[in-house]
Amino acid sequence: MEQLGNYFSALFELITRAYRLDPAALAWVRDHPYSIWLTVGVALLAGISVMLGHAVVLLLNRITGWRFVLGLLLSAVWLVLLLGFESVVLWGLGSWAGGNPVPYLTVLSGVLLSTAPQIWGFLVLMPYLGTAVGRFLSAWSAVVLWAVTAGTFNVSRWSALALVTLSWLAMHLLSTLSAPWISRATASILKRVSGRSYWVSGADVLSGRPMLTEEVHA
Amino acid sequence: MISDLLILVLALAAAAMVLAPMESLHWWATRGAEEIELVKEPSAEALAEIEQMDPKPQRFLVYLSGIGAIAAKDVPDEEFPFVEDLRDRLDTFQVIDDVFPYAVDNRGLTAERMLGGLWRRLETIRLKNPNAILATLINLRNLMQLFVCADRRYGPAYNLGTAREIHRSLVRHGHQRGTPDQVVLFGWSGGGQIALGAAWYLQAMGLRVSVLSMGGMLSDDIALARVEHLWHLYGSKDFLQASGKLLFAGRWPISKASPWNEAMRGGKISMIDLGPYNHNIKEHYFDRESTLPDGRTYSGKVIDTIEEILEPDDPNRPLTP
Repeated sequence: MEQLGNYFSALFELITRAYRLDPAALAWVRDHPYSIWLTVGVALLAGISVMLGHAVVLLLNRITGWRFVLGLLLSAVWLVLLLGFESVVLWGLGSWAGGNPVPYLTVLSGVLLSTAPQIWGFLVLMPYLGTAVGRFLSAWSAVVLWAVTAGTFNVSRWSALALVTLSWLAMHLLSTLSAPWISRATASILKRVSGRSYWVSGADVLSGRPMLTEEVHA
Repeated sequence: MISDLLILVLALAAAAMVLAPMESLHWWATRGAEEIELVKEPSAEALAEIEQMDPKPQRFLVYLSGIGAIAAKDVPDEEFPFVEDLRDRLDTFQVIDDVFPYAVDNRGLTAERMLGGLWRRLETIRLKNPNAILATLINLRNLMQLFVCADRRYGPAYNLGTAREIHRSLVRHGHQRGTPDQVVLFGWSGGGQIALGAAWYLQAMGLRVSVLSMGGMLSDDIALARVEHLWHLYGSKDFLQASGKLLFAGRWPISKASPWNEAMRGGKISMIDLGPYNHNIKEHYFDRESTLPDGRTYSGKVIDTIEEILEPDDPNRPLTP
């Protein structure tokens, strides 16, 4: 019990450091007994918060019960894959730019830590303001990653900004290009297990594309 | 102490905002989608019959109250005589006021619902003192529904619900499905945005829809592409309606391709300055005591203006300019 208390106390300290854009946050993590598990904790909290938003999309699709859990799991796996991809790109580019090899786990820790602002991701659910909040949190995450990247690769502030921008762009490119395939695959899996099609896709809902329009009969 | 209280208030406000869309989402997920699917389109025979009868299109004006409403018929006192004036003056329109715009299923706040007890208590407080601070919780709750309506993610489900309730009301008042009746959605304050949101679907149901907003907080709703016309009546001292211009980015001049600016360019929006009206303190739109320099009451001028717009002296003049 005491250990759990210590863990959460350290987790809270790390989140505060991330919000303060502390460039030494990763060094602090490395020296801490819980090490990378602290950054995993940050990402988990952020993931739970972000998943609330995905839960709403599933709710709109009238997906409940175990199909709801499956839908959330698929979304979570996809988010983890994207973060993993971003960390690999950043690791490759940073090691090349910095000229000295940095352990991958350190870079992964930085990427996981950069999700700290997403702990407020549930605020995206706020009507109308939510979209702006989402964009603000994304930008804040990028700034956190920028703050810890310079120290990780021992590069200048502007080189770190370039590295973070490139890895972020690569991640978004992958996300955008693969989104239709992922949607199709998810819809196909859900159709197979639930026996009925998605009526309104998550993309439709999130993009605000008008649903049903001409087919509506009241 | 004060900072703790501020944090608590902010946290409660954030929680209330996050939870605001849940009612309409729950409706959509549990009943809404099925209910919409269950309603049958009029058969070809029924449509042919209507065409043979060649009925004269009817005109309806649907009054949607402001964010102070508790239920369709439980609105601030000042609104009742105003709606009666509309009935007296608009001869060619049926004036309807039985739709509660801040719930997708037309259920008033004091009906059987999770927080029904709270709203009933607040209603009692407001009856005793219309200016009680606690009663503003009703306004805040409804204001959040306005944002749900304006949100591109939640709006479709919400607006489908309110459009359906408006359509049901039209049918109750004599509208026959399939006839291209003319509907003016008259939204006061927050009701203006709800009217705009519902217009998208009502037009899809075959109706000719226009929106009349009085001090409405309007967004750059996609429905502007479908409404025949939007008249926005406003007071120069009404800062609440003016906040829509700032709050909704699609209304900024920089958003050239937004539905609002496109409708403006297309001449679909008429901004009508009524004069030095406040939103809801003395000298407001419903004020029947204060008078303007020309001798008319504040409320009287609004009614005159609406009559001029909807029932001009020249009967051949179309409703839309």
